[in-house]
Amino acid sequence: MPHPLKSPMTIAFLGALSLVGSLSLALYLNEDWRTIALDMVEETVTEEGKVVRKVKVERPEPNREQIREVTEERERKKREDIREKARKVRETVVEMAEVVEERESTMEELDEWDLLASMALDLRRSASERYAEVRHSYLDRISGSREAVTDLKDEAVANAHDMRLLSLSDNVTRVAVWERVAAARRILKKGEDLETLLLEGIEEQDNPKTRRLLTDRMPPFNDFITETETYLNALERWVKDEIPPDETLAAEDPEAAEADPTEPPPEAENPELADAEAENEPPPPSDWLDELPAEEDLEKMSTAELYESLQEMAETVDELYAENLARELAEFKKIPLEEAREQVHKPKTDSGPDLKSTLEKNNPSNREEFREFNEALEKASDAAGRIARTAETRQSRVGGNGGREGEKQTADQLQSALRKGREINAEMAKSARNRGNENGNVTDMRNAMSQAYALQAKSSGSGGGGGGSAGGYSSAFGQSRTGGGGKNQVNLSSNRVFAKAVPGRRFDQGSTRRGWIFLDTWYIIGPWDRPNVDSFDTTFPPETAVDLDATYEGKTHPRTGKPMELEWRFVQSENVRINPPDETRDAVYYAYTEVFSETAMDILVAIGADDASKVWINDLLVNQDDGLSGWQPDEGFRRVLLKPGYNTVLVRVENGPAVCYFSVIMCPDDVLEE
Amino acid sequence: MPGRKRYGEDEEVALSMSPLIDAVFLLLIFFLVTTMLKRDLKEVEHIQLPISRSSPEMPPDETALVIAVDAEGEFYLDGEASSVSELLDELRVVEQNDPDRRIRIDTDEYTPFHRLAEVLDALNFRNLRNVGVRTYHEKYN
Repeated sequence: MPHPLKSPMTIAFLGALSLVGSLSLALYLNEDWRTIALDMVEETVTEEGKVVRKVKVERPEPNREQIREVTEERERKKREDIREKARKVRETVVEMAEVVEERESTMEELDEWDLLASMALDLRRSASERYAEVRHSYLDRISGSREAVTDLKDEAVANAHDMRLLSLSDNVTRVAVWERVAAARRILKKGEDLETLLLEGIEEQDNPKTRRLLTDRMPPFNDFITETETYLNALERWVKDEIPPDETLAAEDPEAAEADPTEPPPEAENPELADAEAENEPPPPSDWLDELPAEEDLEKMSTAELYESLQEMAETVDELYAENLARELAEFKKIPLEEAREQVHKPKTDSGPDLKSTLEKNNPSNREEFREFNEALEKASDAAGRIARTAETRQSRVGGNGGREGEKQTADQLQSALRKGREINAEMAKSARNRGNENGNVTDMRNAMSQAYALQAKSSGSGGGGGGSAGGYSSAFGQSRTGGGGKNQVNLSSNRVFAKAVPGRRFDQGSTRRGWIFLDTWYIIGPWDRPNVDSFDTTFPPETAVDLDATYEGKTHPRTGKPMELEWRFVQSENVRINPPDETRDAVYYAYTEVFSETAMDILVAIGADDASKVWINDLLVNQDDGLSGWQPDEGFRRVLLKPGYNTVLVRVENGPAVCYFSVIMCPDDVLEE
Repeated sequence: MPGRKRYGEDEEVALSMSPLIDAVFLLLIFFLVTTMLKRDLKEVEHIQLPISRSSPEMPPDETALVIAVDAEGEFYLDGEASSVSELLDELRVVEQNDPDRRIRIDTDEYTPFHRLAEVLDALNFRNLRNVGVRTYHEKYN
């Protein structure tokens, strides 16, 4: 008999036992193996908040009833979440509609003089375009064309200027008015003469190809004459109806004398003015509210209905936002509302995919349907969050109550806030201009900015992203206004800036980075075609709303002849001067970034650009420098106020010929004084 | 005593392997049946992680925010395709609610570096410091 311990069975048994034992021991000692690799143990938190570990028990496959129960429970939770968002967005729509409505009532009525001034401005723009066309083409070689087109442009520029003055003046004299009519006739005459001169010059060309090429360039000149005729007719009609020429004036002005005031104008109806008047009527704001679901309806809606309704409300928010911007623009530029609507880019909220059909059938019978429904539910919930966030951002730019509970602004308060906002914007636009200023000039924007922030804080309750109440803003900024910052001139040499400025975007109190900080990280988009005349009057989508996911059509590609597809590009530079990607001549670019400030802070901003630039901080225009000029770091200094938290910075930079650069360098005021 | 043989003298003691193999197989089947390997739901499947020989091993963390950037430079948040605005919005939310949340960055070995720089800069700007980059290590995979 062998020893019992030596029997094969015993040895095998002992071997297996030691294997199992060591494995069990390893699992017992190593928590990661146990919880992660094997996933046999799970941690649960009891009602008392204790963490309890227990072996996971595999539940049997749930039956159809159980699946339904689970999905219903999940749906209920998500539905409540979406309903809450829908309620918020609904409130936003109501408040935005209120603001848009109030803006309409505070808008100064555009009178005919404003419309005529706007037409004169268009005429000036067309004349400048004709000038550029003649000067930069073969047409320049036609004898006398250069003088004729210069004369025409000067006349149109002077006319637009005088017409603008006339529209702003309260006391319009007859002489001045009839002078405008005479000027319009002169423009028409000069336009016709120029066209005849050019056509004759073209006829004299020997080469038929040149003749054909030059003839192709003529239609815009004809359009210019038509445009001038329309303007002249509108002006004459208005003037004859309102201010008949007296005899003395008629005697002095033979052409005016020829035109009998009693005679009906050449065109019985002036379509442009009539259209403008008709278009000036905005759609009644109640339209937006009509489409809005009632609050009680929201309570009864299913998930699919809520989601659909939320998507519709997102569209309404976009419309209201664009409408508000159009009204602001119309008011600011004194142009017809319809024209402003065309100029304003309409942003679009990403309102998620169409999930209606999937959300409607909450009756999954198998694993696949269960998964599909849950995915749809998650997507709907994400989209709802996104819509609510975007609506909040849009509303903060429009103004209004901003979800402040309990205390609602009355219509009068809202109107006065809007008026105040308009005044601040006008003041900032005036002081932002940098043209004609010496390098190193310092403009103090703090007063207007503090008022604007206080207004924003008042309208948005507890005050946007950074916290702090209206009182907080005014007191912090009040102190900063009184203390520090007395210099009106700062000398900043390029070498000193290059040597000393450090890259960054954060102003923390305890930071070791002190002194000049250049903004090194940007999202840049462009190029768009730069208009030849009054380029800042043409706005591009980023000025309406910065949407980093959006793509636009830009400048025509020189090789393909198709518009370039533009998207925001991340640019980080170790150099003070930022060079936009896809740099090209006669182009417009936008650069966007954010700056963090730990507290409300006075900052001196040095802005430099090659060539023209416009800079907004927290949507407030702080710098406007037109004209072509080389880059200097100290082209213009602005004393500005940063809100506590994140502050947006948007730069519009325009390139004429050659290279394009811009720089934004910031330095806290107190550091500067040290 | 002649004729009497002592047991074991002519017969060698041999270890029979079959019960041992049976037991081992039983154990193997037991573990195969009971083991449930978890899939990382936040992983983007088509991303080939860069290889590293010096990365430390970190236990998985289900609460971590996973930002992935694939070879085309597209962003993914927790395994779902996302845009720049969504990424920046999410970071804003994280900064407000849980600034110490762990953030894992998954990149492809061919991800354009400027896209990674963009993510790192956004994290830095939002003052989110608990950030790690995931790599492939033969030892751990």
